[in-house]
Amino acid sequence: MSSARVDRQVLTELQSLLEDDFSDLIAIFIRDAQHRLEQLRAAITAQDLSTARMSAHSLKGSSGNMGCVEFNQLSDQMEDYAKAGQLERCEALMPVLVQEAEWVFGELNGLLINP
Amino acid sequence: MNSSLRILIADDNESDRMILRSIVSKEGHEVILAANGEEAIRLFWEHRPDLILLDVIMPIMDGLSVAKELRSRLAEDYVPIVFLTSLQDPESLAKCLDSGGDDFLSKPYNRVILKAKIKAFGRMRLMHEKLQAHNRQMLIEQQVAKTIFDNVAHSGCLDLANISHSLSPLSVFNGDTVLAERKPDGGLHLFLGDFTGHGLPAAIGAMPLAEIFYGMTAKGFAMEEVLREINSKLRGILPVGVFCCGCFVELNFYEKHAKIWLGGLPDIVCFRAESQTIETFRASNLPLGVLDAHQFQPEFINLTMADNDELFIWSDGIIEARNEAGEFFGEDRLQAIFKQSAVDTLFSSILTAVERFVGETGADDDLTLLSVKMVDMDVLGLPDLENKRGSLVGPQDWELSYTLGPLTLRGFNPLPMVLNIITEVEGLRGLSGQLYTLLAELYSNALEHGVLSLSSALKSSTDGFSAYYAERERRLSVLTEGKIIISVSHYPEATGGVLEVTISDSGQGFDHQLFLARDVSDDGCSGRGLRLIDGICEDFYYNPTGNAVTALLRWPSSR
Repeated sequence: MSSARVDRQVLTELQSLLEDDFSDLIAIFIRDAQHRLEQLRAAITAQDLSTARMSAHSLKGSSGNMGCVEFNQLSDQMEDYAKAGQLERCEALMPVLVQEAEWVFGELNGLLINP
Repeated sequence: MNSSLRILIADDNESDRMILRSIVSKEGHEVILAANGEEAIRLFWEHRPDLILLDVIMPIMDGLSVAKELRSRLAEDYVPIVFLTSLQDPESLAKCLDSGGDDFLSKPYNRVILKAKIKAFGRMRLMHEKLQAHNRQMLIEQQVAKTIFDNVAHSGCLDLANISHSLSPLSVFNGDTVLAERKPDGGLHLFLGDFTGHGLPAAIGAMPLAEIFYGMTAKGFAMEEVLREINSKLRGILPVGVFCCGCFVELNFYEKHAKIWLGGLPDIVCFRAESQTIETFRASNLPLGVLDAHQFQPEFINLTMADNDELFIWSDGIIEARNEAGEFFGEDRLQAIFKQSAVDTLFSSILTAVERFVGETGADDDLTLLSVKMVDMDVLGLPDLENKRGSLVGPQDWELSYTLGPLTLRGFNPLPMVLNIITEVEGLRGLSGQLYTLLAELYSNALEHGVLSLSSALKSSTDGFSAYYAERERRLSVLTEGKIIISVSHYPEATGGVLEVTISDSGQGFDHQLFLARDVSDDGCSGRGLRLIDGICEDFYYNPTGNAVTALLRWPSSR
């Protein structure tokens, strides 16, 4: 199940690339993603779909680089909805995205404790 | 080759930036990080990186604007820009390239592809640097060559009061050439040439052309001889398809006469000062460098010009100058200017009109305009040919004897060489035109009447001249005996010197008394020659047999 949601190979490669900085990368990714998610939620509440789109785009980019496949796909879908002006779909997708993010953060933190 | 590059990474997402930095620095490159567009621009000018990895969507200033601004300010330097994007649609990707990007890298980043791209752009940048170095070297060489070229091609008297000219080169070198030189007799030779093509290849042909033009004009050669020499020279050296359209003008300020050769250039205009009207003349000759020497038969326009009448000559760059709509300026617009403009501003009016017509688009051919006015001789004064050497040293006391045998006589003209030697004497250079006519007259007498035993009587019948020359050619081609000896000596005197020229031949001698007594008003060639000999020689006599003639000339002339 988790292998479909997160690409382990990407994470292993990042780990060997960044070595000691890998834990910093995960911390930065989580902090940044949390910030964007807040931004995204606020934008949807304010019905500001262009800001929502930017935030979703940014989440898509960074999650893709981190090998978070499911998170990446959900952000992509969010970006598409925002681009198409489908506010209701954005609202409906938001809790799903947050749930996935929280799962991902847990997985990544777990990776640091049990490499 | 050091393959390490300085690379600027601009991405607003910190984790992405961190991953990129790790990949790039692991490859041994130096990394500079920017978190937004504005910072990217500031760091670019601070560090001058070799390559930019640029996120498309960033706060403060997005990647597209950064690329546009850098491209507009980096005119010559080539700094590759690779866009980082998770955008997929073709339109967005095309926009990246339109704004000045060279490539894109899609997210998520693939380490192998990124490495390969950095390497490829490193190579491209190196090639660009080499190209630029070559380019700079070429420009330096062109500037040096241009200096030499200008010394050769523009050393004449284009600054005379009655000449206006304008050359607007498309590049350092110009395919158009304008030459002007005074003749020893006070007249003027003027030439506008337009070589096919532009730039260096076109300008190279102008070098021998200018050398011949100035050299022969200063030595007193007539326009037709100069033209023939230029034509055969260009014919010999130019590749097929390269030639020189031109207009050659010989002005005689005493007789108020212009003799014009026009080949391949647009119609020229003579503006009549008194009636304020124009006459146009059309080219009837092929350009120079097209025909072989024996096919080259120049046709001339003979024109009487009053003082202040003005000739206008232009290259087709003016007629074919195009405006934004792609229309030609055309001869009609050009000729209309003569009706509308004040007389004394014609030249500048033409240039202004063409510039205005072409507008922002700029000319796509060399634009050259030349005009020359008939003026009184006093306006110009006598030519100052001696001054060019600026010294009075040189040969002063010398003698030479030059014996020409039958094979040489068949087809060789020794006179320019002999004249060259004579005019090494400073004081005689100004007389080179008259001296040449003198030598030519005496030499042809010796050859035709002496060695070839031709009788002048042949000339007097109806088709006498052509019969005479046909017979002359025939006898020359089978000549097996006979000779001509040209003896020249020069000795200095208190001021100036004295030149003695003797031309003797192996013939029986001819009735020189008749020659000397011939009516001076005879307008044939020999008549004119005699008048001239009478004008410059202090003494002139034949030996009793009539096969040796001596001319004595003292300078400065007291006559």
